[in-house]
Amino acid sequence: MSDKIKDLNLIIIFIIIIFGTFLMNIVVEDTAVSKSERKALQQFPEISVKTIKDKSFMNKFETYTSDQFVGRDAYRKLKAFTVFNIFRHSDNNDIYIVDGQASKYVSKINESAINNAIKGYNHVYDTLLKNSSNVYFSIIPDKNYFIAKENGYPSIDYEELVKRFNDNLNSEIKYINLFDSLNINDYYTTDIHWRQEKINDVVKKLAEEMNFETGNIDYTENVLEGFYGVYYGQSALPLDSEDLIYYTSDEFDGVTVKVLNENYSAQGVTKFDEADMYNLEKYTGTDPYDVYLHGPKQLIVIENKNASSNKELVIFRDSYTSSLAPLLVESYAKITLVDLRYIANTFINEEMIEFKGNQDVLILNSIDVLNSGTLKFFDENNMMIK
Amino acid sequence: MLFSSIPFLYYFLPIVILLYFVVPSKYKNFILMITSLFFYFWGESTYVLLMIGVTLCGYIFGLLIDKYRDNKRKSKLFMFISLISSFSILAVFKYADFFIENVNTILNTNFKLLKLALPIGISFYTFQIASYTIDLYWGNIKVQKSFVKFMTYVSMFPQLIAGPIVRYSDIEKEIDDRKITREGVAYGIRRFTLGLSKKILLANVLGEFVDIVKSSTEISVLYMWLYVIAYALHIYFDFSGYSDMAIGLGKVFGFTFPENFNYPYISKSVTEFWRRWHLTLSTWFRDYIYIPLGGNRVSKIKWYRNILVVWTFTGLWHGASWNFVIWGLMFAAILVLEKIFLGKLLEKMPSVLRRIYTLVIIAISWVVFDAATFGDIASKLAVMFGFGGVPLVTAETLYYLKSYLIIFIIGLIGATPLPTMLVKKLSDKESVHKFVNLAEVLVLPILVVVSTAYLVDGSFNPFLYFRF
Repeated sequence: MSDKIKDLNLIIIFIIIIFGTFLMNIVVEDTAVSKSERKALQQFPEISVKTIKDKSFMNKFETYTSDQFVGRDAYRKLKAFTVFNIFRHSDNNDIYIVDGQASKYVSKINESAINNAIKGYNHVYDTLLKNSSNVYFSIIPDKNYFIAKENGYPSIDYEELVKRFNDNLNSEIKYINLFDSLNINDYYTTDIHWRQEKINDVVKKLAEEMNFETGNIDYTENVLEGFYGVYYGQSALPLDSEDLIYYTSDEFDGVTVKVLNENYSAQGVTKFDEADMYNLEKYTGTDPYDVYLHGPKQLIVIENKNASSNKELVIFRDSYTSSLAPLLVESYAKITLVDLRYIANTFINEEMIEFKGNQDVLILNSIDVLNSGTLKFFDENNMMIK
Repeated sequence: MLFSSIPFLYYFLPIVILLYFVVPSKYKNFILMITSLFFYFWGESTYVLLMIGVTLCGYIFGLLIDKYRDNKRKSKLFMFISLISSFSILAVFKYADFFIENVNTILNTNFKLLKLALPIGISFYTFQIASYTIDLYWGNIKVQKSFVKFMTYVSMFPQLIAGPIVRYSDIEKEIDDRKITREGVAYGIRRFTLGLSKKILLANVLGEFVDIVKSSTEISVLYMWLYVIAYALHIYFDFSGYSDMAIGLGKVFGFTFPENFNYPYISKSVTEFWRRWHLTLSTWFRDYIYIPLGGNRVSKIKWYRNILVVWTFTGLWHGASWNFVIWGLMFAAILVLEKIFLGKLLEKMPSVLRRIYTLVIIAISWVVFDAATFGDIASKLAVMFGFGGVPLVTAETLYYLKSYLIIFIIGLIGATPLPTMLVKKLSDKESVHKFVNLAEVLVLPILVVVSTAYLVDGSFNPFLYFRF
């Protein structure tokens, strides 16, 4: 290729890239949501003197151009490919892959989040659970616990983390160790969560420690194909999909699920909406794991008139428990699930939960949630506990 | 607006190129001026009028200097008024709070800080206007009577916010009459693309590593040295990448901007380093401060004073903070030592040792440059030289070393002239030349696309020059 031809080619290719992309970005219609990234995409920002003066237009426009960039997913995959295969980075956007398992590495204990969770749960104990005789606490390990350290990835000191809770939570709260009841294959390869069909050992361990009966009913496996978890979008790598499995049983006929109506509760009136155990419509939404008990909810009450006991259970929980709770309904006549990320502890009233003292209470959070600082606790004056 | 951003690459740039090449030659400066003002407005909507005002002052005083060219006293007066007015504005916006803070500390007073946001690029355009005024007074250039052309010179977006510091004499002819050639545009595209890739694929990734080390609680000796190496490469690829993009864009629009970097990390002395690093700044200080003060043609004491003055200003130019002053003074001291005896000593040493000496000094200087406090400088240096009471290496260090190893290797090789020499050597062979051309046509677009992929994924993309 002569110098002249080279120069011309270079100019033409550059013009095609710059102008072609410019025109495509203008012509192609904007999208509202990125399913792979599970996020709402920035729409064209409002132009006004105010938004220009405070630069919010410029800042949002920058996000808009990136979010709505033509072929965004393909570009993100190209970046991930370059990062992993050309520059041989160990992670992309903090996501790494070991033997097909994608995980987001966490190298440090988030001191303020952990301290806050300890203070917060002690406050919850003092204000709501003091009369309860059976209060348990457990931590759900993240995938890093099983694969990070041995593969040379930074990881948090899990022993230290557990010790912090054991040393500082009220001594009446009994710790249940679930770390030994799980392994890496109990989690979805592209997702943060465990698999419902793989947590039988967790149920057994809880039953053993909390003294309830389990294993008396047969489950039917229901398969939803093509499940991609949260790490699929974040890593932007061509990972394989999996089957999402959810358990049903004939014994569930006597089960009713009631979800706290968020609009009513916001107005100071407590009202529940009846719902199903699984919401299959959620499978095509931004987070398919929301199939289990409808995803993030403030408070859910599950009652089973065919349960093997009259016992009641309250779980302070996060999304992992959405897939665990259906496996506990055979054992408890009533299970109440509370997610303190979405409902303030001071907002809980007797219409939601009646703390009788004889219920089992399980505080069950994943390391992801405990270490993220997303749990919020409030004191009697409705001031956030810090 | 950063060059390394989607709004610039895929919205602003195509519109500017389209407008620029569609309008007749006589309107090209006007298009450049208007689009440059928009470019500045995008990032500094409040201060665009300040820049126009400062430019207008420089323009008017330029006319007055020229008008009273035969009256030395008056033209000198107008030169001084022009310099004082533009440097006063720089002083107020950039240095006032630093001055007040120090007065409050020393005199135990409680004067209120002005808390003015620093207008982006103010140091660059102030120095450009000053060079025009002084060169005009010295008779090195002709007065620019068109405000549009003068404003275009000052505000031209390729060099407005991160340099190089283009003197009016550099583009005096081109602002009136420039030729846009196929070779020039292709060269500009090549240069811009390489600069963009340096910024996004190397500088930003190395900057990410720097931030990881800074926020780590598992510091080790090796980690700290890796931080220094990463920071040195990060700042080099960021700054030289910006300069490449500026020079490339200038070439596309028909301008030839001065070079700003010449492989500084292969220097065999600190004196040589400063002949290869941020050339347009060091030559600016040399020509407008050091030489007018007498340079080295004065007594030794005055010579050292001149070096001290220039390097205090150089330090302060990079930011209104004591670490920058110390950084400048550190170089002043080393340059004086090299002039007194160290330079001769170095000449007798093998090249490898001279390079190691230079790199260690530069590494220490970057620790000072990047420090938030004096304690930060001391603790980082202590760790580097084994006095920090930290282990030699930790698991975290090894993890990140492994993760960033390829980037480090590419960065270290890319900071030397080896890749350019290799391409040139191959290109000089007639039988291989056409293949090198083909590779260039294939590789450069790939670099643009991959850089775009990094931008789309919202990667770390800092702007280092907000303090300048």
